[in-house]
Amino acid sequence: MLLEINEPGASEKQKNKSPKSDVAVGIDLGTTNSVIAISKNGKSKALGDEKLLASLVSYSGKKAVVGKKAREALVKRQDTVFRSVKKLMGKGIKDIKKISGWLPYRIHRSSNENMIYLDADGKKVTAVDISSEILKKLKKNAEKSLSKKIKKAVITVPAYFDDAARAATKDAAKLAGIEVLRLINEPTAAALAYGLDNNSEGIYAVYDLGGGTFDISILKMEKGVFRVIATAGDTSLGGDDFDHAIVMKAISDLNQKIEDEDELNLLLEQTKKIKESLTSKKIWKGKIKFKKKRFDFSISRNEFEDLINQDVKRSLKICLDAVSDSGLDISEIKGVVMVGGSTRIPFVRENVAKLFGQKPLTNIDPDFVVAFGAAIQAESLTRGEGTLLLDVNPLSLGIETIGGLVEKIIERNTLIPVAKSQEFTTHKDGQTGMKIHVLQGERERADLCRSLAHFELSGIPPMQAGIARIKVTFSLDADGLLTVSAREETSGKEQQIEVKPSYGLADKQIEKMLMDSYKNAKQDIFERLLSESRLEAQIMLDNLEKALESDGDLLETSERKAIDKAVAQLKAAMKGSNRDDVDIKAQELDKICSDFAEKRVNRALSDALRGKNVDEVVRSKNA
Amino acid sequence: MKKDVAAAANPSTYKMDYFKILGVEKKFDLDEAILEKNYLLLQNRFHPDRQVSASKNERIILLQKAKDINAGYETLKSPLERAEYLMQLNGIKISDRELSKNVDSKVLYESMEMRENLEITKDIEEVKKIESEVKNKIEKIYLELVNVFRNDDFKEAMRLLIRGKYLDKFLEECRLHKLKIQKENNAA
Repeated sequence: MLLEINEPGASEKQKNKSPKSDVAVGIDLGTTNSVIAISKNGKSKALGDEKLLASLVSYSGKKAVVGKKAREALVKRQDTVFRSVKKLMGKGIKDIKKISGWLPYRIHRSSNENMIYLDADGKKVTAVDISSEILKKLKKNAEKSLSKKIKKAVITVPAYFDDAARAATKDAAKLAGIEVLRLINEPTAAALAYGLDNNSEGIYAVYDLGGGTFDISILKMEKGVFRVIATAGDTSLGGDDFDHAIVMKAISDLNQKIEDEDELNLLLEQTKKIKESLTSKKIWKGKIKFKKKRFDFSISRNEFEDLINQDVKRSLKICLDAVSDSGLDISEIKGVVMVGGSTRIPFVRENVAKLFGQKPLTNIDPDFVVAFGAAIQAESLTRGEGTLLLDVNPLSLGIETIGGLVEKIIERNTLIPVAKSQEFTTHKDGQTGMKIHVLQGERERADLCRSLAHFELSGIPPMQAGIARIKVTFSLDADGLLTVSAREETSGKEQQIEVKPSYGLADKQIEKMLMDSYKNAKQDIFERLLSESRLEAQIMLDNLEKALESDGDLLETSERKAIDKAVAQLKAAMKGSNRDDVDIKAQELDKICSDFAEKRVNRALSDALRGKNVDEVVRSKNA
Repeated sequence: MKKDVAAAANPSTYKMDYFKILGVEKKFDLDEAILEKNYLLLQNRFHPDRQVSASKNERIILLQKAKDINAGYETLKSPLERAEYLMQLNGIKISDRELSKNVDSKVLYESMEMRENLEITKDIEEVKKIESEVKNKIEKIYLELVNVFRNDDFKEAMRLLIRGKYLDKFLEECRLHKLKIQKENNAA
C-alpha cells in the first residue's frame, strides 16, 4: 500500500546535477503483457522493439525465449511455453487450489506446499525464473534502444500482492540483474501517470481490465497523500475471455467443432484481431482459417457486445463491491482511470461511464499507463526529489501474549519507515527466558494470524514475576523489511531478528541461482542468443515443410534442389554453435524461398476463384 | 545533507519528544494544520527516498529520524493517541489491559446499549445516524480534554480517554456492520 506526498517546490536547481547518473526505468511486469519505460522530466515513453512484450516464455532445451518468439512457439510447441505465471508468484501448491478458473500450467510433480515447480521440457522452473526471463528481455530491449546499461527499476505489483508475492518479484529482478528501487502498486502508478498527485484532493477509482485479470482499486488522495483504501478483482476475467467468446460464436456459426488445443490457439489468434478491429469498426467481415479451410464469417459490434455483456457486468458488480468495502458512496468518486488493453473496447468504456456517472480517463494508452507511472517514480527516486511516495504497512504486526492473544505493536496503515516499542514483563517468578512469537494480521487470536517468526530472549536475571521490563521493538524500513528486537531493560540483555517474507525459495537458493548465472554469464548470453536463433530457424523450417507438402508441385526441379540445399545448410548450422552462421543460413533460405512463396499466394488466389481453399498461405510467406 | 545528519545524530535532539520533532506546541489542542505542514516538510527531507547521495552510515541515522517522524506524526494526528502520549510524558502509562480494568460502569453500560441497538439495525441510513451520534460524542470528549489538559487534571483525562477509546472501537463496529448490511443487500 502506498501513500504519496506531493512536493510543490521540487528544488529546480538540483535537477541538473542529479547525484547518480544511473538510468532508472519503470517496469510493468504484467500477467499478459509487460512494458519497460523511461521518464525524462516527467514525460514517459516505452522502450524496445516489442514495446508491448507478451509475458510468454518458451524454454527450448535449456534456454528461454520471450515475447513474440515465444508466441510463435505457442502455435507449434505449446508444451514449452509458459503464460500468466504472475498468478503463481509467491504461491505454493496449497494456494493454487484457491485460484479459480482454468490454469494453463504444467505443474512438476516435485512441487510442494511452499513452492510450485513447472515442467519446462523436463526441466524444473519456478515462476520466479520465468519472470526473471521476462525482466531480462525487457532490460535487454531497453538497453538496446537507450544504448545505456540499466541497473535500477521501479517495478509495479497489484495492490493485493502479499509479502511473499512481493518478495518473489524482487527475487526475479535480482536474478535479472536489476536493483529494485521500489515496488509500487499498479493503481498508484496509473494515478501517477495521469498526474492525479498534482490534482486537488479526492477519491479515484482505477479500473484495470487486462488480458486475463480484472482489478478495481479505490484510491484516496488526502492532503497530498495517496492511499489505496479498497481493492477487489477477479483473477480469471479479461480480454482472453472475449476472444474465446468470439471463437465459440464462430464455431457455432460455421457448424464446426474444435478437436485439439492447436486448433483453438489458431482460432484465438484470429479472433483477437477481430475483437481489436471491432473497437473502431461497427462490423467485421472476412475469412476465418480453420482445419486448412477458409470460412466466411462476420460479426457486428452489437453481436460482440452481447457476447461480452455478462463479463462486463460482472466487472461492474465487483466495482460496486469495492466501493462498498471502502465505506464510500459511488457518487464520492472524483475520477476513474482506465488501465489494460481491454478498456479500449467502447462497450467497456460506456458501461464504466454509466456506473460511475462520469467519463473515465482514457487519453493515456491503457497498455502503457502503469509502466509510465512507474517510470515517473523511478525518475524521482534517482533524483531524490519530485513526488515522494510513502508506503503504509498493510497488515498489523504484533506478538503473541498469554492465552494465545495478539498484542499489536504496529497497526495496519501505519506510515513506514517506523519503529514502535512496547514493554512486557515476566509472569512467573524466576523466569529467565521469554519466547517472542511475531505475528501478522488483524485477528485477536494468534492462531488466526500469520506466524512470521519465533525467537527467544534468554539470560533474563531471575526476578519476581512482573518486575522484569522487556522492551519489544518492531522496526520497519521503507521497503517493509521488519526487524524485531527484545531488550530486558534492567540487565541490558538484548536479542534481535530480521523477519523476511518467505515463499519457498530460501535466500540461499536465490544466492545459488545468482552465483550460477554469474559463473555462466558469458556462456549464458552466448547460449541464449544461439538458442533464440535456433528456435527461430526451427519455426521457419517447420512452416516450410508444411508448404512443401501442400504446394511442392509448384517448384521446378532446380528450384526444389536449391531449397533443399539451403535447408540442409541451415540444419547443419543449427547443429553447430555459431549463432551468426544460423542467422545467415536462415536469411539465405528465406531469400531462396521468396519465389516459392509468391507462387503459393498466386495459387491460393486462383484456387479461391475456383472455390477452393488453401491453408496458411500468408503465414508461410511471413515465415 | 551533512547538516541533517548532524541534527539527527546530535544527542541533545535524539531524545526529543514527538511535539519537538514535529515542531508543534506541546499541548492537547495543537494546530493540526501546522502538524500536517511540518510533517510533509520533514519527511521530504528525511525520507530514505531523499537520501540519494548519503553514505551508508548517514542513511542509518537518517532512517531512524524518518521513523521517529512517522511515529510522531501518527501519534499526534489522532486526538486519542495524542492524549495518551501527553499522559505518558507526564508519567502516566496505560496499557490496554489497565484500560479495561479501570473502566467505570457508566461507560460499560453506554457501550452495551449502543451495541444492542446496532445489532438489530438492518438499515444503512440508520447505522449512519448512529455513527454520527457517536462522532458527536467523541467530538465533545475532545473539547472536554482540551480543558482538563489545561488544568493538568490527569485523572479526569484518563476517564475521558477511556470513554473515547470505547466510542472509537464502537465506530469500527459500525463500519463493519454497514459492510455486512451492504453485502446482504448486494446478495439479495
